[in-house]
Amino acid sequence: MSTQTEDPSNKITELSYREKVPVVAMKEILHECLVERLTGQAYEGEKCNEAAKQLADVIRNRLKNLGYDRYKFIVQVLIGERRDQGVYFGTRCFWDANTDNQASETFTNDHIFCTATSYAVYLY
Amino acid sequence: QVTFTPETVEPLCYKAIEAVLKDKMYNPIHVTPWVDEICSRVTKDLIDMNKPFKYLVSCMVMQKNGAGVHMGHSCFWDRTNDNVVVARWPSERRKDPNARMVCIVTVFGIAF
Repeated sequence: MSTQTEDPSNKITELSYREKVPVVAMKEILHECLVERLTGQAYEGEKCNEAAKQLADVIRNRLKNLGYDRYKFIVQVLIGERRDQGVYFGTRCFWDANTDNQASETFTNDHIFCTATSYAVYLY
Repeated sequence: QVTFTPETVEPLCYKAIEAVLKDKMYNPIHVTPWVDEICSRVTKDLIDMNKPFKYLVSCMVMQKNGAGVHMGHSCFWDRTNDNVVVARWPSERRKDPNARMVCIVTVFGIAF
């Protein structure tokens, strides 16, 4: 059960492990969606553009179906062509570590690389 | 109604990107602290605005060599209060003919 400790200065919400979105479940969803959609995919400008958006939508719908009603989900997908360039992707979050979580997965084949990151943010 | 607008957030992103990446060459050793620095600066400026938002800042830096890159996002949230701002550098409004890198900063603002 979630507990709210009454404190004159601020209310603290602590969620039990059952109410927090598990990182493992999010990672599994990301991994399955990436492998299913991108295996064997070559780089084509237009198609990869749509694929990024569609993949983000698919992942978001699956996260919604996990059943954590108090959570907002954000999904970011990055697809790029492999041409021996260097790339680095970093993220920083300003949130409540007691309730919020993030997960990320990377997929590569001979032609493309793809990183998917999902964030779960609690609504008080 | 407190909202998260591109007009307020985009200048912060460009200020951070240009401060860190202007006139630099892509370097795999230095790119990690660069991305950290950009994310830290943007997050700090957002927090200083003192609005009731949680922020998710992501930054991608890629070497320019003709390869294509695409970024998509999908959100399950409250459309009236939550918003996203994407800043691409170099872009039409912020040109830099000498840039050897491409940078995309995405900021999600979630109201609570």
